[in-house]
Amino acid sequence: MKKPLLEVRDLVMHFQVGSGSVHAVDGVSFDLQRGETMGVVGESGSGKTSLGYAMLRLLPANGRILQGSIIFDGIDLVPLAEEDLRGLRWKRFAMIFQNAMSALNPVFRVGDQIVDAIRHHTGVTRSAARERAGALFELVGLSRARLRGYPHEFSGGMKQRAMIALALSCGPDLVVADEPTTALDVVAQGQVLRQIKQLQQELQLAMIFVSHDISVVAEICRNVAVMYAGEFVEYGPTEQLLTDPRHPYTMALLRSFPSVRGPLKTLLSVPGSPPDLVRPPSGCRFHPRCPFAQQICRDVSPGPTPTFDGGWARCHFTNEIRAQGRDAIEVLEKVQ
Amino acid sequence: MSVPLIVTEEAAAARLNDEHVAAMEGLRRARAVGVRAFIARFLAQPFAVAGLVLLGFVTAASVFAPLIAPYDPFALNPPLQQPSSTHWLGTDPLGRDVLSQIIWGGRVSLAFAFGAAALSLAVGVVMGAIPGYLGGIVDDVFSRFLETFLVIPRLFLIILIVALLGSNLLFVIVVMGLTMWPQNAKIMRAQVLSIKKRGYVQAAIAAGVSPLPIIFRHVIPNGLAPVIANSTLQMAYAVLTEAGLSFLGLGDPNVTSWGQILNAGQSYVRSAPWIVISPGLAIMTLLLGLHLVGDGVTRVLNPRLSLGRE
Amino acid sequence: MRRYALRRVVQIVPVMLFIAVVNFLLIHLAPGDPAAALAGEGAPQEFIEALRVDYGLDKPVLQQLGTYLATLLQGDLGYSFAYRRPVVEVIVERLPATALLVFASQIPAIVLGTLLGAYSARHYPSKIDNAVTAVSLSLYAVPIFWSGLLLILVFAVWLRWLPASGMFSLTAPSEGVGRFLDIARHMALPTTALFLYSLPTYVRLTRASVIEIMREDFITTARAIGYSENVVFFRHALRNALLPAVTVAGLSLSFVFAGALLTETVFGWPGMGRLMYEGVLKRDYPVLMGVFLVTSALVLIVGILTDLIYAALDPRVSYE
Repeated sequence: MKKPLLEVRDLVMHFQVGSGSVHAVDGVSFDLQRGETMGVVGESGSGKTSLGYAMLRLLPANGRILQGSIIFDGIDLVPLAEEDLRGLRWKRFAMIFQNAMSALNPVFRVGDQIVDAIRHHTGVTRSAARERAGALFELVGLSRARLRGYPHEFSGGMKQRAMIALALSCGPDLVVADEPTTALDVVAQGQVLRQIKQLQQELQLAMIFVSHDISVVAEICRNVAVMYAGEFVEYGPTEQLLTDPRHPYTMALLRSFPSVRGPLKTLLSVPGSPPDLVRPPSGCRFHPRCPFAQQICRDVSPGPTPTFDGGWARCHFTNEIRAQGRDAIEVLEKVQ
Repeated sequence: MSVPLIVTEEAAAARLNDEHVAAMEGLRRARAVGVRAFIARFLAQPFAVAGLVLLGFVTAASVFAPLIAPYDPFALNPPLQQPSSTHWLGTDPLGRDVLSQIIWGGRVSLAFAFGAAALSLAVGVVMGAIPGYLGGIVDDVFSRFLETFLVIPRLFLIILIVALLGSNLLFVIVVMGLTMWPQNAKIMRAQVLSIKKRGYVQAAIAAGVSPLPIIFRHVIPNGLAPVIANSTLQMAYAVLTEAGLSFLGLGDPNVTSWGQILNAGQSYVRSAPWIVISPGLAIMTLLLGLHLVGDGVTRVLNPRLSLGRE
Repeated sequence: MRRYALRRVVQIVPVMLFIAVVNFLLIHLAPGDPAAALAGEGAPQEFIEALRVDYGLDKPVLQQLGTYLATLLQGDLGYSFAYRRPVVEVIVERLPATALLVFASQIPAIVLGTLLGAYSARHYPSKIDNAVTAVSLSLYAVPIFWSGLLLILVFAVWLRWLPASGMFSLTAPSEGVGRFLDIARHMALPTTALFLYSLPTYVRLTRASVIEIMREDFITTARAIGYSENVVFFRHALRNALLPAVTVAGLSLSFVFAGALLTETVFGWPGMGRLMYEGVLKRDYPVLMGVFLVTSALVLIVGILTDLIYAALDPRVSYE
């Protein structure tokens, strides 16, 4: 068993907000190998974006990692001092931000922003850095002439690609992509996704792809984790998880995404609203919205029950629900 | 199984990087909750409350002037008396009691603050909303006019008007209101431009409701917030300008105002400094109160920081 | 760029037109004889009659307006009986003194204000930041004519360090370093008053701007790239946050002129502001109208310059 590039153990991250603290990430553990792709899906408010930021220790002023470890290539990032962290940032791991619209500095040329990043981490000359920036642009499908442009002169899709180029500029081993296509129109979305997939394969990047859209994740990620209320509730190989979900939340999520390809299914949305993260529900956090919930679900938080091929689901009744098969789906449909 | 709605829709639909912080922000911001929440949030800020106290103090003193002031502000006592037990703040070159003048002077300042700002608010809101809503040529022409007006140095214009047409109190209040409304109009217009695209407005238009009711019932109430915040600044401006006018000798001679006290006392800075010190403190108190309240209002309506003048 | 500048300059015309019409209306709305108003108080009857003919005040109103505008276009702002000189001359004579005060007070106010505001924002939230906010809020509430009087009280009356009014002392040398120092001594207090008047605007503006910019996404990107906090703040944030200050600096000229008016009155400083005050005392309407027109024109011109500078600094602004 190779040593994983990234080992996250029992990560807990909270935000201090006014009255209390928001339990954004509440005990997440996973491994990521070099060149492996992992998706993190969930609704708004599940904590998936916070998880992405926590990976790079890019926390806002009121965020705190309370416990856990993030071991990147043997180094635990959690206790690391800022100066050491800065040396690692972008060079070893980078991020593709959700808001390409506003993630680039409006008063600097796009090319210069990439060149600056490159020169910050390597000592190369300006022209060498510019050459590399040009190569990166070509890699993401942008013309070199655009290097001299300002962010406001780029379209949404172009900006996103520039962000990808920026993320790759220092040759990181790990890239966290935070909803990189959410703000784009459908056509641009497809293009950018294909680009990302191609780059990931070419450069053998390890990738954590965060999204609320399972179909997007399905395109790129080999494994996927489903996140709810700060925890991973299910994890497994994407293909199998999509066809054979083992957690009620995953089941409901899958049915709420219209797929142009598949047969016309009943569109279910997940009833209820996202949980209060300041005072999360007791026991299994999904129990208030779960049609299969029993007393034990209210009292005891379920541990991971192995499902298939290294996957698991946090549910007391995952096997029972699966055994019910079609009936389970009907129950879900009736809840509407 | 139904779940009680714990988090507002705004919180659930967060598009920001950080859904959680946004969720909490959304909770706090929930403007739809109304006046009571506004007041509660306003009163939670110590500085805003302090401002309210200062304002209340000045207002109370002005309202109860006939009862509180020890002398008639126009009565002539021995001139240039130092502060003493008979005249707590001394007397001015004509012998008028300074303390009484200050107490009565508050009325003029408040009259300007409320009068001019109210007029500016009323005219500005309507004049900003209608062209903004109608769009087209009307809006183009109007915006030109607004920009023109906003460039002109207001103090100079007011001085010119008052010098030529008289310094009657009511007249000057109206003049001031009429020079201040373009600022409100500009803010309101900006608001209207985005409000008219909102769902409920579009729905009303589709339903065939005519423009005027839409403007007054839907558009204006939703755009008032920044205008109201700006109004406190305008009140401060009105007080300051009135004081400046009186200081220059353009005040209404039939009333007492703080600026007039300073006007009378400026030649006697050497011999009678007390005449000059106290009116300024009074102006400062009122202005500070207005600014603090204005800041507090802005902070409630917009969690971000409030800006200053202009 | 040139076309944009030209267009803006052309836009001055309707504004000046508007002001001229306002002037005209006011003269005619004023109680009494417009010719007497135009002549100013204390003018002899022959002068008033001559004015009536000159301005065609016995002709129909629209024709009068035309005549008035024509004279304005020729640069004739009227004749001041009180000064016995053309208004233009008097204004031009007084302009440098005001310009001196304005530059001497605004440049430090802008520089120090933005530095202080940025510093305060960097340490937000903290006691230092609260202190800066409290002080600038207090300064906002200080009427400038009052602070002027207080400065006189403290520095001229009690401490006797600086003169209370005027621009020169009669006993001082009339050229060279001696004169320069003399003017500087007289300038100190009024400049300070104007400085304190303008300072809080820039402090609060920069502070708010920096705080807001620091929340922007591109700041997170900069941090993610691994730049130090100093680089993030000075290079990435400030470059964006200082832009509004440019706009405000341009817009605030009319406020500065208002402040200058009051300051020059308090300190007897012989500038355009004090000229306005003297015009009020003497009811010299041509002077009042003339100063009003000139200050408006100056505000407009500075506004255009500021816009051009801003357009050069912010790449998002195109010249369309």
